[in-house]
Amino acid sequence: MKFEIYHQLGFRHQWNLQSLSDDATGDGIIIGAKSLEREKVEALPANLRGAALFDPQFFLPGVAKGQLETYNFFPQVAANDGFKSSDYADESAEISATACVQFQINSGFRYVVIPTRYMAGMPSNFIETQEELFVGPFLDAIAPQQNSPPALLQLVVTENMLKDDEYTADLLNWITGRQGIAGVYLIFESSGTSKQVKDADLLYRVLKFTAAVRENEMVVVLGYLNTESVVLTLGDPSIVTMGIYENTRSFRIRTFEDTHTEQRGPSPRLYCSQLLQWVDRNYHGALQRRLQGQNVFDQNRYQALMFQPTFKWHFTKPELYKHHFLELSCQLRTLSNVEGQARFIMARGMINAAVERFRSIEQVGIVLDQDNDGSPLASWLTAINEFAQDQGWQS
Amino acid sequence: MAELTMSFASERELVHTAMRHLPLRQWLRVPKEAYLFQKTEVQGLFGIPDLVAAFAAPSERETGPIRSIAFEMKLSNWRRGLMQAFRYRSFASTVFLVIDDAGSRSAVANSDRFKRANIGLVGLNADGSFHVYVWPEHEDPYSPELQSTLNELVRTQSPTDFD
Repeated sequence: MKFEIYHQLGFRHQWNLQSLSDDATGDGIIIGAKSLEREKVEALPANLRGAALFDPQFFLPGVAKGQLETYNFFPQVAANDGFKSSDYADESAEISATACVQFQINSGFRYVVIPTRYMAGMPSNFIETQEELFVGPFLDAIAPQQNSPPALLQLVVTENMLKDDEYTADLLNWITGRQGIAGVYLIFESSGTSKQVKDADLLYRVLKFTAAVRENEMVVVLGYLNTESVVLTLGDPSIVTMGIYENTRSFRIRTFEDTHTEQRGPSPRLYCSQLLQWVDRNYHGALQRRLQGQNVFDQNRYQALMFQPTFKWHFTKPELYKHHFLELSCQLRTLSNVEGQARFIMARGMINAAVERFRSIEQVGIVLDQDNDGSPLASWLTAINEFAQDQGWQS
Repeated sequence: MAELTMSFASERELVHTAMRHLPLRQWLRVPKEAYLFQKTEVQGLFGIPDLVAAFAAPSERETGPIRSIAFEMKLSNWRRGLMQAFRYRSFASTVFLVIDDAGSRSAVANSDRFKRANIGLVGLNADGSFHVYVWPEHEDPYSPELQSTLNELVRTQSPTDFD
């Protein structure tokens, strides 16, 4: 099936909205409560809200960071004496769930999202905890609503969970067997520290998980994606996401922790669609000089602006991200237009072409570091080939 | 298999030996008595070079070009060293990887990669003797912005009465 492209909103969400309206780079938005205060969400145009998901971001229910405190249903805010999971389930869960569901319905969002609590590792009480705190109370709050849109269960799955067959099977049984849920809003957490996911097994597991949920005719929204979205489209998701800063392109729980302080800003990086990679500004001169005629930079109006001598490169410049949205959304749309084996062949072609481009870069003596080179590509090929084998797409 | 013995106990020792024994003044063509800028662990560029040496001729100190060499120093792991050294090509016109000569065999066997990247390769011994396996060619830095940042750093941190 075709999939849709959603913008994962965070800081500087106006750029996402401008990119959507000016360049038609997506089909909708995922609103993160931490970044957008309630009043601003309510003031969004109705057509935008109609194609939106609201992510309540209850990952750490005891930490009302950023704009989370503007939502009276956020657990830390809703619980009078501060959030304690033992008390919350008895006293505040129902009130919070009712208010959050009402907010999502009144706002006219496309789905009602049932939030999740972040749990590290592979806890044995994962399902019970989610049921007790949020899933049960939210489904109870949705049930009497005549006009409720379909409900999506949010899940943050860790690498450990995904790599354990029995644990994954339990999760799938839970999701697919739970009445009242139309699908999942799936976020996976990678333990890797690189800017791109390089773990072939993890990607393969996400593909398998996505495909398993989709086989049950449920919706799958894949959140917090970077360029590995090209790989993950093979699992036939309903929606994939793109974001501005790295904290919307890779899920890191520390972003939601109270103690987390933003680190020094990164170097500006430009997405190069031929490479399926973001490349640090400081390498651009080498690429331009040594590759000469072979341009690896995508040509569009943002590129034209950024490569003017007067342009001041900085990671806070919107052109970098609008350029990314424009180029990546084109690649994703191309993949969305085909299905199954044809999508696999197309994605494999994109990755192989990127491998070749990196080879030509290496041959002219450019030595890129591991956040800018083609090192993720081999694991991406491994993941899609293994998945294609399972699907019978490999001849 | 014979165990590799390193001449240096730490990278710090390697850096100090390099600063004492590599003919930086000669390589940068710094006149006798003229001030040679040397700074270790330079921040604010691209990567953190172990050592940057630079010279601005007095007549050109305000606006003219600055000759600079950036160094990455490694006891072993030349691949990582080459990758780090290449970053410095964005601001320095000459870049070397200095590696403990006792562990330089693999790097030397891959000299072609250094030549292709235009990164020099020096094997250094604890007694200060050294061998230049690959001489880099002078090439303008890739990033005019970072070159300006380095030039500014050299100018502001150089004494005004050194000539």
